[in-house]
Amino acid sequence: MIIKLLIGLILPFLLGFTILSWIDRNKELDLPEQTGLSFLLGISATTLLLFWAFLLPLSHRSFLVGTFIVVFSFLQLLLVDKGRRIRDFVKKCYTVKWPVGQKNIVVLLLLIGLLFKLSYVFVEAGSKPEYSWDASNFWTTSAKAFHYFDRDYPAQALQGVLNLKSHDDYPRQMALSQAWLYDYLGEANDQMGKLLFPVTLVAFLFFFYAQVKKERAGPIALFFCYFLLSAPLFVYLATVGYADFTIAVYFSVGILCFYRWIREKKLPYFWLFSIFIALTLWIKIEGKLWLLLGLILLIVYLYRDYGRSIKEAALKVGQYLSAYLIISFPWQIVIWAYRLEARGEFTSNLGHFSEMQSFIYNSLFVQGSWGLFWFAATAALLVGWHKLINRQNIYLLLTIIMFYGALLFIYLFTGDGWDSMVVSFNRVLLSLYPVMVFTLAVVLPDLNELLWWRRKK
Amino acid sequence: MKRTQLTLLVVLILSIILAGLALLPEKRLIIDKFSVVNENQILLPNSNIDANLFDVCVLELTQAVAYEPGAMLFTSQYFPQFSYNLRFDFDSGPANRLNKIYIYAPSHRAWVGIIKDILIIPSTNGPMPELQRVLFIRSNPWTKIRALSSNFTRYYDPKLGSVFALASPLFFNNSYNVLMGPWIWGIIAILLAVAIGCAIYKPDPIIFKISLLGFIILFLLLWLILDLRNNTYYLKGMRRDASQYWGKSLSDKRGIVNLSSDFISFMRFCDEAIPSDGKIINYVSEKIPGTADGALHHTQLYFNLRPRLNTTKEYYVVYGTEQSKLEIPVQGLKMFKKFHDLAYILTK
Repeated sequence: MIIKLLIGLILPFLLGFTILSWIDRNKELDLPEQTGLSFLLGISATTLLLFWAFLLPLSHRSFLVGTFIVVFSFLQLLLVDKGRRIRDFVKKCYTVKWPVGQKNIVVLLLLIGLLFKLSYVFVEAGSKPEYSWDASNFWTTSAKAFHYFDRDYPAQALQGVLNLKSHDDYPRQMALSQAWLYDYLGEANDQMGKLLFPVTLVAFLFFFYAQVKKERAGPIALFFCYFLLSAPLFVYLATVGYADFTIAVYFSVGILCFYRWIREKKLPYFWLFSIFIALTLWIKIEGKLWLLLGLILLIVYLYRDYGRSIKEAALKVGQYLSAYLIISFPWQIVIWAYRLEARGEFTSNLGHFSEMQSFIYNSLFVQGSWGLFWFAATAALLVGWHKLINRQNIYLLLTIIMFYGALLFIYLFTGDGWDSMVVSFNRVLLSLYPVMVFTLAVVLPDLNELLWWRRKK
Repeated sequence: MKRTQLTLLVVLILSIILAGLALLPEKRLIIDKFSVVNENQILLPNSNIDANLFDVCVLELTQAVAYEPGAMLFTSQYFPQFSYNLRFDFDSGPANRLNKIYIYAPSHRAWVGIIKDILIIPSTNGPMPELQRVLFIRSNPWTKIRALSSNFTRYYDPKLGSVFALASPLFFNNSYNVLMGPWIWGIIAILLAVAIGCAIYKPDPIIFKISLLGFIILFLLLWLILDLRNNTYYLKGMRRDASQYWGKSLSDKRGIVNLSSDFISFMRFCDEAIPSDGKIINYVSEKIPGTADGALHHTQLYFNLRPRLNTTKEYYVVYGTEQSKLEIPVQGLKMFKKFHDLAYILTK
């Protein structure tokens, strides 16, 4: 069982690694970035391939997609690239500098703490079958349907899944990624399938560490990784298979790649920004707003700081939208073609505006299972405002403000509004959380800077 | 003296101090007259307990309960309704041979003055255990630590379910942790205000650094305490997973997470009985005693059954309701397969 699960996890990693070798031709990504992104990108690409396969009259689709991944990766990595990328990756793995080598007790404690929290996530996710409301009702039921229908009724598989009438218009990455694992496990084992989320968390931690490491020293980057895992809600949602965790990871990767692109002007980050933001729309329906948020960020940057011709700026917008067209547009066509019930009707809940503000305050600071985080975030933004409004960090601030605006928009003008806010606010807010932790890492001063007596010596 | 010897000596002294704390005298009040109300609640009417004198409540059960969250509610001269202090007070953890559950009463802000009626919910999920007696104790530090360690604060989202984790502390009105008196938040607020003021007006960099450093140190201290508590919950969670789930079959585990192994057995029965192209109509009751409200009806039926194409005959899957009490037009429906009186399949 474990070997089958590993095959189901390694194949997407291989696909992601191969796609990254295209995007990052000049080998500009670090080892932790490459490792984390390979899995995150790979699992999404695998679900897209699987989805496209479901549009065709095939059967045993996961195994066809798996074969395609192996052949495609073999051609790209061994024949076209002549194994250079793999050799480079292995060499980087051998020469990696582990922070433990610094013999710093704090670093060692942080590493032990991180491993402990990750152990909890793995044990909690892998010990019991799926039970949480949304995950059972929507993603995992749908995943089981993909798995069984592909095997028993391949010709009617997609129609069969859509007939379930459970969140019809919802994007399908969550369901297809689970179905992919079930196919490789040979049974609809939701307990094993749930391990996808801890693995996603580990992949994200690699990426997050690399991003903070570019701003701060290694031990501080490690501290912020631990800090990221200290919010109970983030850890909890990584154990129960909620889509809110996955979209939080993808949105954050997208925004951090945007930040890296404007800091370092390296093209792979622009593509990764476009792809990951577009992927949010393949995970949850609110990805529509995050796609818009990304577009506004991009346009503001192109107008304010890009410093190139209008033609080049327009090309960037076109490239950003092309990622959306390739990734999420096919699903929109299916929604239209199958006449699925699309939600998101506009309603007005302006009468609840003040109640909403009170609820938001209560969720952030009192009952939202966030620990001390939002208190720390508010304090850091106020104290470090001068760092926050510099040329590049202002885009992090802009993201935070737009995210807040988008949240208000969701609850003020769509769907059940106020009623759904009570249930989902904390979970939707989760998408901003890693970006916020990163912002703290960027704006907070070094403790050494604050030790005023040291400078006197 | 060598370092090892010194460490051993310190450990020995600490152990003696801890053992000594356990031996300090305690004042006890024993209540063994109470009444059972509403299936899972125990009422101690008009107890007249002085909250200033007693701080720990111990429930002594005739049998052990395992992994049951529970609560203690009360009315007092200032808080005349039970709902003023609704919260989870404890998580029993694994069953222990002493069959005792400790509750640290001052965790309730309302634990002041003379306490009147006390309502105890010894288990939230499973059947109610039999209560032998209730003790109210003016505790020594050892008992206090014991009661605090079983203190259970958790986030609850009506649809998301219980989150095995901490809620955020209140800013200035923290009630659940004695380590976080309002004064800490007062100092933090002042330091933060000074740091923000300095960040904006920049009068003196040293004032800025001192205030910010003070803020960060205090913040880190509080964060560490919270994180330590959080990690304790994670440790408990892993122990719970290991003892409750490891080594069991997937079906057994489904029974545990849904709080109804009978329902899971019925699902297997349905899977075998209903043809793969049959259309399933959901008549699982929304109120099944001992399970989360609506969970079996809304999430678990289709999730636990093998998906079907829903193209041919209709099968009414009924669970939790006797056939004579069904609120659906049963004319023309006949029994297709019966699992037991409350679990069966009807068809036309």
